[in-house]
Amino acid sequence: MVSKKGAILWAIVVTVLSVLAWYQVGYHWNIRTDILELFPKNERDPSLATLRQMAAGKLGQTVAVVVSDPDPATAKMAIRQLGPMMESSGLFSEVNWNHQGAEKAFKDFYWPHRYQFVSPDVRALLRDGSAHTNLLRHLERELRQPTSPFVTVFLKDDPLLLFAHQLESWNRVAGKMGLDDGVLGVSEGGRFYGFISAKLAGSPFDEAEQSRLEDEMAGWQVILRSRHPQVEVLTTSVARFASAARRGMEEDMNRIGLYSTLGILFLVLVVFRSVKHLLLTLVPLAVSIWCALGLSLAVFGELHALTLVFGASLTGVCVDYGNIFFTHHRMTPSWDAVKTMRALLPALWLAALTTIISFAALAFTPLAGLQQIAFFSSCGILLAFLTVVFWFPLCFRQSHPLAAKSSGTFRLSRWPMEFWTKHRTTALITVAVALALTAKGLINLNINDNPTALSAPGAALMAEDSRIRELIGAGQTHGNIVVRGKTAEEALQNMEKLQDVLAQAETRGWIDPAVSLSYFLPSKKRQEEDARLLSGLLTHENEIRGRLDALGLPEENIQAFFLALKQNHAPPILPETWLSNPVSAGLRDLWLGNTADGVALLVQLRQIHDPAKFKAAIASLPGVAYFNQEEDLTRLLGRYRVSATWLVAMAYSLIFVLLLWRYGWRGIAVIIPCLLSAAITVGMIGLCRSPFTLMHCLALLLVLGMGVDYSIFFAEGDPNKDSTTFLCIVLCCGTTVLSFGLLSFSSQAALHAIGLTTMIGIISAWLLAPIAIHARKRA
Amino acid sequence: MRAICLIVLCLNLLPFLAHSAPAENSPAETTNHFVSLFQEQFRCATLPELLRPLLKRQQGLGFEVAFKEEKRIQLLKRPLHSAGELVFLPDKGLYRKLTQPFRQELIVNRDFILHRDDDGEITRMATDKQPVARAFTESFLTLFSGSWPDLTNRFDANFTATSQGWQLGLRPKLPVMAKIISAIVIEGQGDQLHRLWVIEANGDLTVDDYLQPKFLTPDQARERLPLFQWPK
Repeated sequence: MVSKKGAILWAIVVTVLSVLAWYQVGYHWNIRTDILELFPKNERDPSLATLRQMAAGKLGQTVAVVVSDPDPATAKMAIRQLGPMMESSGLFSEVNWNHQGAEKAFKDFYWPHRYQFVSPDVRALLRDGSAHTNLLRHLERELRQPTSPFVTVFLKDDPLLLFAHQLESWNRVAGKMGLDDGVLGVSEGGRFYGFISAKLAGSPFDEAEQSRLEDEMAGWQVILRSRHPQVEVLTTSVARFASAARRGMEEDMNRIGLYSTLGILFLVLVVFRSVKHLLLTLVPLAVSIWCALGLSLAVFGELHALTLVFGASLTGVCVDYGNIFFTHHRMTPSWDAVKTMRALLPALWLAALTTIISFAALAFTPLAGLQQIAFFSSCGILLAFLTVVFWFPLCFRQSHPLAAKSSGTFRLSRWPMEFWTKHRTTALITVAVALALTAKGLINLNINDNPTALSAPGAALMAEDSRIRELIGAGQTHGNIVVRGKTAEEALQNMEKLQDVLAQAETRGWIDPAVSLSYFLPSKKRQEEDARLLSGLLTHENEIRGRLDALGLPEENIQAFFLALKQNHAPPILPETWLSNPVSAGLRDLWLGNTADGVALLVQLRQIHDPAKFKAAIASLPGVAYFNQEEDLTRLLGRYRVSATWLVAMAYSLIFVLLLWRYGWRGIAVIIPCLLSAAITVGMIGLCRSPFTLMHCLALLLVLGMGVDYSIFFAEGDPNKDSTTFLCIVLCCGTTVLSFGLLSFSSQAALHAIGLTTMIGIISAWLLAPIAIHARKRA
Repeated sequence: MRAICLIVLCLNLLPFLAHSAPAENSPAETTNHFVSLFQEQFRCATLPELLRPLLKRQQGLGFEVAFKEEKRIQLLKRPLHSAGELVFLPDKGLYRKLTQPFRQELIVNRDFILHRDDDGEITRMATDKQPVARAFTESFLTLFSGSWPDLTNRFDANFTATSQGWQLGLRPKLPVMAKIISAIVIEGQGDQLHRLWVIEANGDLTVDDYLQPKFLTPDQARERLPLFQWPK
């Protein structure tokens, strides 16, 4: 294995893999940034998962813009200037800012159907037979109100104000904003807020799309402010969140990668004092990261940005194998490169194997992103290990010029060993105190499975998003309901059944009014029912005539009303007609459309005040499925955290078996430092009251994979070369902390979790590793 | 029934309503009564001296008045008559109770409209959701607030006076309001209000005769507070 032939063979393999990487990066570079893509698909109901994705996709393309000014006229003017700029940018497939035309379209579309599609309130009155008295009573009162001008306009053609009631039902679901001079807006706190909604033409996760959107928005804001100095523009979109996440990850990748590399290079220079060592340190790094990148792209077709960031931190592990070889070179006056490598191989194999086992364990989680990380990391480690084994012995024929001199780092590296041997009592007390604190931390451990704990966007972005939600009347805690049917008619009928339950839930205060197509697009069956119910008014014709006449309504209007009611032959409102009409603008997202199972519709819930009662109420309805992305992900992440805990236990057990096979019962001394460091890590997280997430749990695998190496180096170390072993371990620990540990400074919560866990775990493992020397002593 | 919701909804769909009922010739221009009042020469930017005592008395205090109302809706063959009482408290808004031909109560303030029918059913509608409704209620409340700056902020004012009394003509400045209300005319004598005319853009007309208007002392205002405290 350690020969010239092997080196040439490995060079060929590396060349092939490099070409593959070049091809993949050049032609199939596809980086995803949505943190939710890391999470598993819903395996219970694949079609529902597809529908959720459809819903998320449709809603995810929405860009909400709020323009405000103390003067309503100025705010409206700014809306009228921004709207056309957005339209002409080509960024959006749809921009809704001008509602002038929509108002007329609404009247033109629905007015002819006023005798076959009534509001839920009127329908309820018609069903219990009290409609005629209630509607007339309501009319008589309305006409005597100061606000009567707003109902008298209906009087001529709709004396019972049926259409006005329909308008009211629409208004109740319209949110906080209302139409004002063709602009959707609301006055609040001395400012007028106008609203524009737009649909991105491209994917919100497309980097170019995100950059263009941000640049254009910034430019439009400058233009608007130059014209109206007091104008403020708020905007929110999935694209903006994704862009912030991508930027955060990119910045982290650059920053952490740079600091990590600089730190490691500095460490190498200090210990080995040689440019050759410095340059050769980079070789396994370059080979492992570049080739692992190509292989991962080839296998997955795309990579999540988190994988890349994690990959950048692999440097810490990849340099370990080289460092071990370098340390022996540095500390061995009578040097034989091939002989040394052959002597080191068992320890290196075992260390590489345990690390790969722990990384590979990530592949058994159902989280797609972690599978990528597992593959990327396992490949990277194997490539780095083989590069060191095949190439490094050929690069160091001569002994190190400073081989006879002791290193300052060596003296430092001996400290944990001396602590354990010379201050045994203090060491044991320290461990006891650490374990007591760990126990306290474990008791106080705050387990948090909410996905927001893994993906917390910036405060400013969240504040802007919350403000817009507040202004448009959409709460933070909302869910969605998918309604399905074999045909559009069946789906609409199922939604109408749901709507009745939603109305009851609203009356009981369980939910705020939901946005449902039932208010705007009735099923054919419902239109027939409404027409039939309305014809029931004819049985009270005399009474209605009498009271309308008493009010002073001319006979010809009364006559025309009853004639229209009797000859109600308007064609039904059909989904295809509605979808192609401007009245459906802004509501079409709720029509998910044809799926493999039929037709699906979406109902958006604003606020759920009593989730338990509400979910129980809709549970038995046909074709209805409630989902709340956050709740579902919390539940799933909780499940996977439990699975991951078992996975961690299994990985530790597997490695323990491997150690038992290698060392017999003395293997216990090798595994104990890892177990203790894992426990101390979790305890410290609990003690700091930081939330413990799935990522912390999975990072324990890394603590095991890398931490066990230190114990193995101690166990495998030649008692005559302790100084070399100690230096190896301090270098490995230093590089790991510099790479993984630095992730704890990442702005991305998931990376921070991995970094923090790894840093605490690795430092603990380093401090406790001398325990493993017992395995060697008894050997 | 959600009567008030309906009103507010209709306010919200004002542009649509404007399509349905395009403004015809303004009654203010056709009614002889007000032809002279709305001539340019009677425009007034500053508070007319004759109104000063009335507004001075009114400012900061509440008032109550009984009224008789005649509503002339063009479509209807005959006017609608009603009677009741108004109570205005600056901090609480306007309370309007109809006693004839049926009992009906209404509270209007800057944030919401509350309506209670004779069966006791209360309906509440927040006007912050409805920009046009808010503009309407604020304009209405401004009429009773006694604040000349607020009044002239929302309306163009004309003023004439004779030995018989004075007339204050108000035309809404906000286009959305002008689509509903063509003009409002308040008639009075000295520091007494006599009549309120609301001339709608569609030609309908409302005349309220105020009987025995009374400015409220702080104690009387306190006594009227329960009128504004409805069960939730």
